[in-house]
Amino acid sequence: MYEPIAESLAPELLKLLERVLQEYPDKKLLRDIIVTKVVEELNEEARRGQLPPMPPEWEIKRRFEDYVVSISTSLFRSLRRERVQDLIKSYGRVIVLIGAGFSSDAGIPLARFLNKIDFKEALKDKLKSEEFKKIFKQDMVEREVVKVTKAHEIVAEMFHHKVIIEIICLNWDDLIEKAYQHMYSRKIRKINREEQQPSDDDGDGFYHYLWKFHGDVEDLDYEWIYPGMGGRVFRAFHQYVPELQKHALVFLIIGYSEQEEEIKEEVIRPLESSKYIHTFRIGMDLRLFNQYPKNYIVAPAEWIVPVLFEEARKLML
Amino acid sequence: MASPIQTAVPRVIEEKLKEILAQPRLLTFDQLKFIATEVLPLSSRLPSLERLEKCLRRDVYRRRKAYEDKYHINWEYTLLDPLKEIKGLESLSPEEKIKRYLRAEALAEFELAHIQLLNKFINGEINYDEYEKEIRNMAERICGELRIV
Repeated sequence: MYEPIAESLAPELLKLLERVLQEYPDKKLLRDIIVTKVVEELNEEARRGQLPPMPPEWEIKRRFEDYVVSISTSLFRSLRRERVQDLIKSYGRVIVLIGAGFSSDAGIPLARFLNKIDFKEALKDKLKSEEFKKIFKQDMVEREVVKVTKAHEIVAEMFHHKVIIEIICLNWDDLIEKAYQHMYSRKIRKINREEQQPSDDDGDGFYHYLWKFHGDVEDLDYEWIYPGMGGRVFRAFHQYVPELQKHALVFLIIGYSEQEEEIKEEVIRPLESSKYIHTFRIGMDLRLFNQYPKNYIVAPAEWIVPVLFEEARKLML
Repeated sequence: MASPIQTAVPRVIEEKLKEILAQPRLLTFDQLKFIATEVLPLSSRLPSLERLEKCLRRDVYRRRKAYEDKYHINWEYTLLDPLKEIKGLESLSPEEKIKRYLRAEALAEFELAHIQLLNKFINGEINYDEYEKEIRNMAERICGELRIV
């Protein structure tokens, strides 16, 4: 019932974003995400028999405005007041956890893949799972449907310079690997199977790996983790977490929906609860923004990742 | 001599309205409520609709300006500007115009409360649930009493 009203307000809502968040990269996308969330909230309330006290167009505008104000406040707080860039530059020791929304460019075709398969079927049927992996590999890797973005390059670069100490990538694609290979002409250190043992080659107390808990397009023989399976964390990483709790300083969760219990319980919660670690979430998920208003930055990774590592990169160049 | 239509308007309402129209101050919320609930149903029988319209129009502008000065609201940046409510009313009937002015007044009142609450929420003085609850109560009171919905 609210959709047509929201649609008629769309140009006005976009104008507000253009005035308030001038530097924001994709204002139309942000508007659509906020409007979808507001309409979803209002429809949900209507289903419960709770009608808004104000005329619907006011209610939509008011809620839209609230989101814009709190999103811009959180951006201001993170980038200007807390200066996450300075935190990263001064201390390094960043852990990055990457989910499907890491790159909006990579995310859109991914959604298409997800429609091609019923994951419940893939869980039960090994053949279906194998078939999915092959289609994924063909489209993602061989046909190069998805390209490496600036955000992938920066993560690879900062990992190379040891500003980022560990990358946890829950995506099956190999875009970070490709970026790293392209920049440094060698393979990135990676753990993508339970049985692989990490080694502390630098002797600095960190392993320095790209961890791929959920499967890897470069390793089709190993079991992949699909949505709805609850996630997977390798034992070696599990044992490593207490060290990270004591010695890591920044934890960036980028584009991850936080749906898998295993990842939430074994990785996010312990690292976030460490008194030494500053945790920031980045993404376009307003459900998580409402849940973590203090440390969620509503921004596309492609735009915000270069901004966050800008100061650290100046030191390297 | 008063026309039969004029005499049909209850005298007490007419007298009260005259008082309101004569005052130079901003209208109070109770006075707006009185216009919405007592005057508006009789508006087609009122002699001085134009004066009431003018008074409400003036009031919307002044209320908006007063909030701007007192609370530094930059209406440029808001979607809920009361002035937008009273644009392009020429073709409407006097009763409809009065309703729209009342809507604008309600919006000005509400937007003030909204901004104050939003500041509290942003500063962490209240959480989101408290903010939502308060804003809902406020909207229910203002919109309900001015019969906006």
